[in-house]
Amino acid sequence: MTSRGGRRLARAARAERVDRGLGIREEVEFFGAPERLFGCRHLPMDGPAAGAPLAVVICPPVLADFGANYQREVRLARRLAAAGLPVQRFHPRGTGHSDGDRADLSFAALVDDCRAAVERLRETCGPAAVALVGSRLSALAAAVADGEGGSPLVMWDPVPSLRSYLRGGLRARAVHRVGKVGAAPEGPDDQRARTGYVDVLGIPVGPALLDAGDVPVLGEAVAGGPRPLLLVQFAPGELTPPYAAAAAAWRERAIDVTAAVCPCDESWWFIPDRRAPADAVLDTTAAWLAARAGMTAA
Amino acid sequence: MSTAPDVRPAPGPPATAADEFPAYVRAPTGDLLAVVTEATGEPLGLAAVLLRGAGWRPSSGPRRTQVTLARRLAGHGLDAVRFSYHGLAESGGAGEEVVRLDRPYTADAGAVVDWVADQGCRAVLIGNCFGARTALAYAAGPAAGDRVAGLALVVPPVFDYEVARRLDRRPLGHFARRARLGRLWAVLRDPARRRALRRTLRAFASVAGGKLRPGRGPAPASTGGAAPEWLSPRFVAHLRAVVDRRIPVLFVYGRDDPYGADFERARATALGPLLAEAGGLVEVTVVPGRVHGLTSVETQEAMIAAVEAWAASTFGRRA
Repeated sequence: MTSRGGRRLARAARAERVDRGLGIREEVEFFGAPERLFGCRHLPMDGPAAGAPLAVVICPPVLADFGANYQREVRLARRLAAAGLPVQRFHPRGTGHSDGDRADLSFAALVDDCRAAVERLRETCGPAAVALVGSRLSALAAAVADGEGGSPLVMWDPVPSLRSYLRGGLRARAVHRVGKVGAAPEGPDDQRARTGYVDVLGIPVGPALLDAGDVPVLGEAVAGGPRPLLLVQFAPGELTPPYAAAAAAWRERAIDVTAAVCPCDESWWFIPDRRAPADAVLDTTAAWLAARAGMTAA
Repeated sequence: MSTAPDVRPAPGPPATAADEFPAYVRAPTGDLLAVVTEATGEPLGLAAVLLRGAGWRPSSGPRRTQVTLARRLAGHGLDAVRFSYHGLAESGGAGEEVVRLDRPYTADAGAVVDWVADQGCRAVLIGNCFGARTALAYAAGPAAGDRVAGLALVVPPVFDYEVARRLDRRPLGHFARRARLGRLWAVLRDPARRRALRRTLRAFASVAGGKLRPGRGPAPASTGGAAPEWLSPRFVAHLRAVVDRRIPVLFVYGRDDPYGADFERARATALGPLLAEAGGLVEVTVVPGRVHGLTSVETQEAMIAAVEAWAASTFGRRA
């Protein structure tokens, strides 16, 4: 920051906050190159961050889901750190404070960013194992990012496929435009031809995501082999058919699946100005991850 | 009133994350996480302080517009600080379940402006919705002193109680249909809903009082007829204070914003004389679409261009 006299402050590489009430400290920074990612590490205040039995990377969802899920992820991170687990959160490229154009968001970049966050956590904390928590589209990205690593994986309300996710976005776009007065609203194809992107509720979705052909569906995104997986459904009732099918496919491949239904009143594409209730999601996730680390959840 | 802002070319390139760093700002409400963007153009000694609206999302939004705006203003020589309110995102402190326009977060704004002043800069406050009301309230208050160089107010509501504004728009039948015994019982059992009911009843009494006794509304107009009952006396008083301090102000509304229609109605009555007195100090820009919520990319671009053009013409170096 520069005053009119030209004085420039020495900038700290990262900002730190200590929360004595929760018994945690938080480190915020930009990391990675050439495009930089915004990241926040939540650490136990007294416990040794290095050599923790398990650390967690939270892979945030994108587009409208990013803001909808944000406070839930912060709360989970703080809770896990208070229980002794280091946690890395980050903003994917084209999202939040990170570099990158919104319209350039792609699944491949999302996977790369998940891996960069895991790497950053390993550099700073050196944990024995890293669990991944991904929501919606980023649940698929987290699964792909780990590949055959066999890490514990938590999927919050994952999308069954990129296609179904984009269909939901286009439906929300259409509903949003129903009430508009004046000229007929522009269709997605016309808009894409004119601008190069489709405007989904104020977020430009570009060809890198719209035309991505290499995104696995939910049941195939997780590599086989012995790994623990927690699937959390936000909608009430029984597991939805896509989730039930995915869980069955995973079990056939020796994946140790725990499925939990934690009704959450989350509408995803349409974000009301309220904090979606999340206690059941957080309780379930924190307890499951703590058990993977051989600890007791706070 | 202008509708098509022309942005003077920025002397420097837009910033990137390489020009940014995080910092915690100590506030009475908690430690607030700020992301600071350094000017890429020749520094003006000004820092844009970006205040977002209410909600549970981080300071990059709404719809990442605060990131885009901060990075573009850097090219015009303004540093920028976007921050999360207490209890939100990476900030510390405890947040409130209900954010109220009559209780803006001036302590948060003041802490960030103080931090900016410590770096040797004056602040240009740029607020959206609740953030605009917070910016205005802070700039009008005694703590601001001469630390505020300008105010860009993006879709500020001109009422204090959303419920009062709704009461004025909806027929009584709407409320009669909602007044079921089961619903009443559910409201009475929940402390938060009980408090909300008390606010509703107070707002209803205020609106009803205004209808029964026209002219008792806030800030009686010297010209242009009676002020609407829902017009916030705080809003009018705060705007009066910043005009008296000769702080340049920009209002931005969207053509489809109900808040913009409210502003125009207030302008036709109680606000008219004040805005006329302010002359060129206060600019009003109306852009296509709906700025509240920013659910269209083109409206986001128009809003950002409006603020950028105003900042460049108001504070930029003259050739």
